[in-house]
Amino acid sequence: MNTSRRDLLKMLGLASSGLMVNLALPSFGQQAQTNNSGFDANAFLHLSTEGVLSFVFPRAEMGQGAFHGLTSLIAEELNVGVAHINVLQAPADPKRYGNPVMPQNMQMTGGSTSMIAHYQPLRQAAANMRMALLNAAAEQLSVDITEITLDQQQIWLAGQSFPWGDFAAVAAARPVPIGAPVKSAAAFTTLGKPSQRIDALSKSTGTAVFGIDIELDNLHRAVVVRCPVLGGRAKSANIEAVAALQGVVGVYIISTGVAVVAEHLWDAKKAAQALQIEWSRPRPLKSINSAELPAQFADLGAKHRGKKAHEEGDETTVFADASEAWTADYYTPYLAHATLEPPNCTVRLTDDRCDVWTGTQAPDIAAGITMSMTDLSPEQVHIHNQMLGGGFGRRGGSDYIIEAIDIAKASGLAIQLVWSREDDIRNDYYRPPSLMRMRASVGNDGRLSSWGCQRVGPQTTPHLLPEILQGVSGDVLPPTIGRWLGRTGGAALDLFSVDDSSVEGLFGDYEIPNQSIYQVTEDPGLRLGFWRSVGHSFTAFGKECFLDEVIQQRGEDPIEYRLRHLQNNPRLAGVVSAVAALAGWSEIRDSGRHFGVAAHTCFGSSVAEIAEITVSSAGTINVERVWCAVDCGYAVNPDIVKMQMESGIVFGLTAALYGEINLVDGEVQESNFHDYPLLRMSESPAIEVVIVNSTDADAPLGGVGEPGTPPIAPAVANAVFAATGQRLRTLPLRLS
Amino acid sequence: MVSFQLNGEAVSIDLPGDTPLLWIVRDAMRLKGSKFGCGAGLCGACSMLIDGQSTRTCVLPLAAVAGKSVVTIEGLGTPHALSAVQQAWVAHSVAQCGYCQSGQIISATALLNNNSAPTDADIDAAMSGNLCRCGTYSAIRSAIKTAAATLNDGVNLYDPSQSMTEA
Repeated sequence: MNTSRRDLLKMLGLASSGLMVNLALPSFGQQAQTNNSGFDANAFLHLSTEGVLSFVFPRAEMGQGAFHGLTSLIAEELNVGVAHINVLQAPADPKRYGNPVMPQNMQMTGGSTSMIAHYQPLRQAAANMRMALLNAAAEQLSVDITEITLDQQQIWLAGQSFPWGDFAAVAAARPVPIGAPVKSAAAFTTLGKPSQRIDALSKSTGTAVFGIDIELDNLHRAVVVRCPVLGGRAKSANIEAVAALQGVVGVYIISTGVAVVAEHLWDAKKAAQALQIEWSRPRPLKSINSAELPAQFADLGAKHRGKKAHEEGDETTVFADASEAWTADYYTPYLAHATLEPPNCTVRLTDDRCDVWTGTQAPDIAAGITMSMTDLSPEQVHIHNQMLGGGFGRRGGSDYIIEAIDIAKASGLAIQLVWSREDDIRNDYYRPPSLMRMRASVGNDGRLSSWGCQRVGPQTTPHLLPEILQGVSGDVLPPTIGRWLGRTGGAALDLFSVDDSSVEGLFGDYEIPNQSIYQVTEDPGLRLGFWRSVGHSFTAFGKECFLDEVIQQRGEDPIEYRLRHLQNNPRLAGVVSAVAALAGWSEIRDSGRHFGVAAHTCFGSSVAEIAEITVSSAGTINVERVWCAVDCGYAVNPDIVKMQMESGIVFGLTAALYGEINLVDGEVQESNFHDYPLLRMSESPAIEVVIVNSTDADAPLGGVGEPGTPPIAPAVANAVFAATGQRLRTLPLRLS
Repeated sequence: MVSFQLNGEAVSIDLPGDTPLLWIVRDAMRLKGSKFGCGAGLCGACSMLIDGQSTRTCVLPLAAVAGKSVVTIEGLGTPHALSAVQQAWVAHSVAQCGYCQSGQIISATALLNNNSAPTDADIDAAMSGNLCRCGTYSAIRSAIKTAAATLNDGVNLYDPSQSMTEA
């Protein structure tokens, strides 16, 4: 996620007109903690008189470690073990639990922002609570505040200790201080140190609850059969025949297809196979064949310059006049997210209340959509967000929530909608395809003198806007109007502007005096969304592979040549040097083994990776080892930083080696893990990570959920060139 | 009526014999630790021990487990009484989203029940049926080696306040 949405809103004039202020979500009035006998220091923190500290976790946990990470901030400032904090999931309430770095304080988890957003505010909230408890204790014990300390859930006075819950009532009766001193990093006992994740126990015993695990009395199960072309509508179906099958309680045509409801999921699945449905297939998607897209995009790029995204100097002239110049086209396909927990949603709807249980990265959007579909008020809508079995951006889409509410309304029953894997692979918000037409020149000093890229492909934000607008306007506008606003905004973005997520990462890393980045928009119509690292997932491939072409043609060293263009970029230069040191670059580079280098900055963090590969006689690419250096500023939870680099690398390797979603007549061809494979243990490399600059507590924080992914595909592709002399310019990588 | 052992207890289930065991365990028995990931035996999230072997239960009909022993993640241990494998999983903070980890732990348990000192190749062979979208493979490998060492020691020491990971 990036600033593109904020820019879009400005461009639409909504922000300046004050319309968005009027549409700001109201307070939902739901507190996760309601025990009035304790001390509510603020919206996040409650201490009961029995001494239980509760923390309302404002983000969604999808594996990235924010559940532990944000709780560790509280633990540090209140001098308590992380595992001793009772963590509660926030309700949908963007005023209290929104993401402060997202536009309009939306309650969205994504863009690798959780720690960046909450590092200062949550520490301050906890420090203020600490001061409030010390003040209360000083008052109750009739001592000066300098005589007492707070540690391990006790107030300490001259060697005697009192449980902190004893002071909750008095603290609750006094104003909570603001601006209490937060600890300096030198005093940290929890942050910056190794730690065991507090969600490790539940996730290692099968007791962690995901949306798919929810059980209710009288709960029915639902499956939906959807058009083979995403977005199609059911015109008619053999409803009566299927409704008569064993165990089926109802069959309904809904917005996305035909729903079968039964008491048992297996009965619903079997009955759904008997459905015969006449579809209305959407244009232009129903005529799209993805095999034709690279040539179509190339054709468009040759005919139209497109919209300017970024310009420095005079790239056109410098490139045209250069004696040393190169061009190359890079292509990356549609990709699916494939979260291991498939989309699911449980809904119980009555006349005056709607409860929704699911895993979502955007509970406020879910709440707004629920209001818009049920005409209930904010106080009547309850979103119960669970642990997410993977997010990667997929669960920022609300389609499965919309479907579940549709089915609950149609059936009058409490229902749990569970998607199959086939449903998931074929009804995603896909990572967009891109053709990146690269060109560059080198001057007499051996440095890059010009750098140009024309990126051809669809833009992502327009696909998300209808749901987002329906969500943020859910209690004041009919759903059709909200979605219309979103479609209009999206069309305007495509016609008049460049979505940041189309081109982010193509520029900004290296010092090159003449640059031009252009976007040509062409949309085949397949629904798009944000996929782990968003635009960087494809731009790093074009940028770092094309740079390697220049490097190899000139006989340069991949580490040194990058450093030559990072004189004013200490963070990225630092990780390039660090990964070289980690791998022992000067020893290994002429060893006869095959290596590829890539470096990229995104979401505030710089990452450099070196991949070592071997190639089998059958032409299989085996990634043997990956060295990774990351600078995310201060490493608040170094174990989690390391885990997220490993996670991003493995995720990116699946895309590098296997990932592609193909369309034939608009129908997604892939369906399950036999034809959309994920990297397995036996294919996974040994990974070594070094965290750079990790102890500088003043360094601006970067995120870690996504930045490990962009460099791995180019690092492997560059290693393939070193091993075989084949320059692969398309993902997934296939040797001929 | 199909009778089998579920986590050491005799059960009898009166549901269609073609129902996959995964849905019997999750929906009829309300044991949610085993997960649905693909419905095609490709991801391993549904893995349970059937007579000691890690098995994909999303494609295993109820009728096929008549008279057999079925052990789920719930049967290996609880938050208050972890198995050695689970202790290693917690100590190494293996889980990220956690959705695949019940299946991973089942397969790791089967491996270590049959092979007390697995090599990397043994681990690859035993574990490659369990997908992890979050990419925790290297942590899984480390945890298996720790569990193997613990099991060979014969003495289990577990201190939940100690982290076994390095920065």
